[in-house]
Amino acid sequence: MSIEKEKTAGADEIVQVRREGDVTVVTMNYPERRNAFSMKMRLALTEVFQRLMHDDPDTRAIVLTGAGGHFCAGGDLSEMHSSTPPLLALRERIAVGVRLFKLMYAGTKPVVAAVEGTCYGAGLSLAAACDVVVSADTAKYSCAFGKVGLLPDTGILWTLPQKVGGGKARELMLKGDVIDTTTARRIGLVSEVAASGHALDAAIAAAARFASYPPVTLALLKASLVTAGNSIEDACRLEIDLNPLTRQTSDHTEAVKAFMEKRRPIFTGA
Amino acid sequence: MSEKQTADTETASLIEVTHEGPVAIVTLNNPRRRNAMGRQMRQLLRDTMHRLMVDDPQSRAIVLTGAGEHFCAGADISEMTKRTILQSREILAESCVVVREMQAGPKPVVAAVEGVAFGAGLSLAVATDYVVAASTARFCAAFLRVGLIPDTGILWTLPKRIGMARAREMLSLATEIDGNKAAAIDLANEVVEPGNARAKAIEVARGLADLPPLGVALLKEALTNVATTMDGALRAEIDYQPILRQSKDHQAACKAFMEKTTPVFTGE
Repeated sequence: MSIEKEKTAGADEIVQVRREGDVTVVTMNYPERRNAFSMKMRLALTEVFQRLMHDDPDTRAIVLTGAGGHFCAGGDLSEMHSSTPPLLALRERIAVGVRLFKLMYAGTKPVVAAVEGTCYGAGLSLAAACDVVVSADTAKYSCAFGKVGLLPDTGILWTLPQKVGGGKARELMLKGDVIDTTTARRIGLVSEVAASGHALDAAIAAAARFASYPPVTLALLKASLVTAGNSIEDACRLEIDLNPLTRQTSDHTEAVKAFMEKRRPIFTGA
Repeated sequence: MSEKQTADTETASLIEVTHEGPVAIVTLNNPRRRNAMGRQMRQLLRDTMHRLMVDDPQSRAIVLTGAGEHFCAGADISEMTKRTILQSREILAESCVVVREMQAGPKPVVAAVEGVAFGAGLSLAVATDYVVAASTARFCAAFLRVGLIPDTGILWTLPKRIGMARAREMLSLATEIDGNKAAAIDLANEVVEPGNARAKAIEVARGLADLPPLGVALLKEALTNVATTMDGALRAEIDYQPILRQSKDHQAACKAFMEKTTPVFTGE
């Protein structure tokens, strides 16, 4: 059913979905606004990630990218300028981004960002919500919320300090300066650098590596990393609770067997 | 009001406050002792920081620096031996107030570090939002060298700032590093030639003073007190962002973006 839906996702869809083996590539497709994170974009991404995470067993890893040489320019200021809804309605709108963030960051499958060009504001939040960021060497990053009087959102209040340290996160959030890929790599925001125009290929390769790992264990690992850093108690409790579960999986048995037989294991998610 | 009275006493010069436009410059001022913090200086710093944060609408950013060639050599060791445990507890609580105020208070704080930032001096620098260091600046968590547990918030602020591995190294080996090394590990945000830290810090603070004040205030509050877990961080954006979306400053920023002009922010 979900595959049928993908086939109908035409070039005019704001979010495009296609399959590369076990990897599903999700493309933000609003190139005339550098894939701005409009309400329509948020809703479409949320629906796609909900489906890929929870209703698509064939997808083992996800790549998120942008059409037209840019990742995402962030919130749509023209949309924000045109109307200011009441507080309760605004809370609902923010909650859409929060839902999307949780699906990506705390969901069951690994997500790899493929970043070319602009990655600003909520675009940066989306990249930071991914498990791994593959960046073109020409990409530019900015946490550009403060300059327009907004709080950094879509999860980045959590992910940026976690990934780059609290000191660097405060700097990026307060100053909003544009940083290049070399800096983004140095501070830990970017995991892998590709030549300009090749971020997507490299991201698909990275996602294929994820897809070759045991799915149940990957899902439990992602869930663990959300709270494991809160305290040493949390980390130890998670390990005591979850490691025995992974020991019981067929995939673990298969890995041990393959190790003894000196062959590559094949993981099924059982 | 009581702060103003304190500021008029003869010890007022231990903390000096000057203003450059929207930037308030707070100077630790006991250069003969490398600006070592005795109790009077701590209390004055606490009162001054509080006043600038909550009772000085003209100031939108704060620079913290030391008089003479040094930032701060740490606590005044000559005062230490005279105290009971209860008295020490009171003094540490006074320092913690300053740290919380700088981390979570509504205005950005930039440290300008020349010379030594040792012990509690390092703690003060680390508690700011942005550290400008001279290349020859000297940073050291010297607490263990005098048999003390690191204080003035640094058990929390240093691991948060530079990561646990490097924080453990700095705190438990009391190794000294210079400005360049501090920048390499993101302890300092920026490194400048010796003698230029104050001017650069004021320049950075002027930039931060141009930001919408309510957004800055809610960001600092969120990062310090609310975004301490993932769920807390997400709650912060749902609770705070709608308020900011309705602010005049955000609307002015959108309008300026559409019209390609530079917005002026009022804090409303």
